[in-house]
Amino acid sequence: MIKLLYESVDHWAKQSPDKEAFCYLDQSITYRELSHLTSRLAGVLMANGIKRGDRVGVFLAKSLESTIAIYGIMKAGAAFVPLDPAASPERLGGMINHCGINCLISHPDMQTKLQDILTSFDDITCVIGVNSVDAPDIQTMDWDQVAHAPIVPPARIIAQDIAYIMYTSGSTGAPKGITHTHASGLAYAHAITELYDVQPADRFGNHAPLHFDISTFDYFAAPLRGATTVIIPEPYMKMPASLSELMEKERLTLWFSAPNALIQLLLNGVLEARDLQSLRWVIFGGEPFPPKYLSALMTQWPQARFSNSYGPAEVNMCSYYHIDAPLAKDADAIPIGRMWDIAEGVIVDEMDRPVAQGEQGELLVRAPTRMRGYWNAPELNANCFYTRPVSAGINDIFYRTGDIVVDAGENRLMFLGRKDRQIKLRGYRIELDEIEYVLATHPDVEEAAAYMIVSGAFIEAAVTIKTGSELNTAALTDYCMAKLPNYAIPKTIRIIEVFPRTTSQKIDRRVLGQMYDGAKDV
Amino acid sequence: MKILAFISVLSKYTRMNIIGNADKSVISDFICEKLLNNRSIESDENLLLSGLLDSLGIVKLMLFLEEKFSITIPPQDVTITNMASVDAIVGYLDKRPDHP
Repeated sequence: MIKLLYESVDHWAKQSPDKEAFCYLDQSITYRELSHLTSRLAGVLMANGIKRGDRVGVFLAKSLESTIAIYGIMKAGAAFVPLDPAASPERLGGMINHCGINCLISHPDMQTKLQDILTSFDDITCVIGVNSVDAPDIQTMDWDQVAHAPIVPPARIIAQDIAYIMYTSGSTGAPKGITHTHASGLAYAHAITELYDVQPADRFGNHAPLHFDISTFDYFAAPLRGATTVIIPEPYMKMPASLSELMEKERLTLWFSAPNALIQLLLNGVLEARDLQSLRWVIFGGEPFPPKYLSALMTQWPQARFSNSYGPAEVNMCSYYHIDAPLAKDADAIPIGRMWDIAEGVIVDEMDRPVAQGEQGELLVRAPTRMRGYWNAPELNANCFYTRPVSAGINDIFYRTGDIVVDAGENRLMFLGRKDRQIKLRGYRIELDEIEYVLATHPDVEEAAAYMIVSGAFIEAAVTIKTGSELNTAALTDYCMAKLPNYAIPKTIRIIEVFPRTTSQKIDRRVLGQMYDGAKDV
Repeated sequence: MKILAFISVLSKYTRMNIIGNADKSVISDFICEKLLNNRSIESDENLLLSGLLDSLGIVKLMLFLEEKFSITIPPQDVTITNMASVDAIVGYLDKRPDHP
């Protein structure tokens, strides 16, 4: 019985040792090799003082090393924390400080960026995966040395111990660390492999980078069933014609990504020239899929089944909707469907009272896939759960998704929008308030507002600046780039004279969004 | 006749080579100055799978090529093979039917 996430790898290393576990371009790693290498890495980490409950940063581009890193860290009893290679050193440093990371796993390809982090932050004492770094008192060990380290038994931990922390943007500007246990991660892997009937012969296409939570489908669910995951290199994500070629060559059977990647494949992937008959499930999630594109893709791949998968990273996933009939011409949204068998969903009003069938409200979710909480964030943790009494001192705990949904009957939950101003763009979760917060920290900015341009599905921001300041748009964009993840940087930042306001004198962001819809960039 | 054909092939080769070299330095300079913060590159250095160019860099490079050479690069040509290195890009431009 597999009780900890890494046990999947060791299990299949015994069952089918020579089976490819992960592939990256012309390299691959078998289950036996993965099992051994991760045990060696765990030994190296433990020898460097890593123990149960510690956090270890994964600072790697998509690669085979990333899978060795996450399973090795978990075998050492620690939780892995994916660090986005494209994020600024400032933002990465914020995460490293916030969850107390003092050991990183990296690669010589990342040396320049790694050096930037080490120069700015002195908490790191150990970097595995590079030969040397230009900083005093930092232990290093390259991958070759890891490959020759002794194989050690894993640290003793239990399923309730933490396994990984995924950072997402928070409304105060500080990132939020979604903390999952082996139990919650594995409950997700079990449920989703059952839902899509994953078999050892399946080949997953890993599109999402590690710091994007849907990557857990490829990294946890595939190894649970002894399947193979093909890690798709970053450059393919911008080159749909090469991506579709790779999908064909690798005979992928399962695909899970945000809708945007599928739309790009449909529009620019020369799909008519590709044989993708092997695809049996195309799963999408993270944001709504425009029905016109989905419909066209379903026509393109008639043999595949399509499924909408819904759930905030805090509960991994919790509902699904299989699309088994052609979409109606006037279909305006794809349902998020029915709750998983292992999850309970309750829709409540502003007062936390369950709403009547057909009325909209916030979705609360209770499931074994739920996170333990946000790392080092007592206030967030005090507010993000709803408790329903069972008996004196015994409560059911629900996660407040903040998503407004309605039950349209026949197992069709419909997603209507975010309760607060958190939005999803190309699968990334972005808090508009965080963007405003960052802009407002600029010394020359008076007030800032971030808003969505609905017709183009992108973010813009507008600011008023102090009299006499010569601040310009380019400088503001640079300022944002240092403090925000790439995907949260406004497409354009307008310097304006005066904000439109509501009757209560609040900035009217809805009006801003309409005012500038279709306007030229600055 | 054979000699004429040879000269014709030779002149075609030389012409392409000259254009190729000019293209090469224009492309290298753009990548080095605008995308890599003045880090110099070899013409056969892998730009994509090495992680040298990030996704934004790839988009900027496409836009530059389209503008500089007054061409449209169709989606099926935006591939890992065609854009792998400066040499690969020059090779791709030479191969295009609209190349001068």
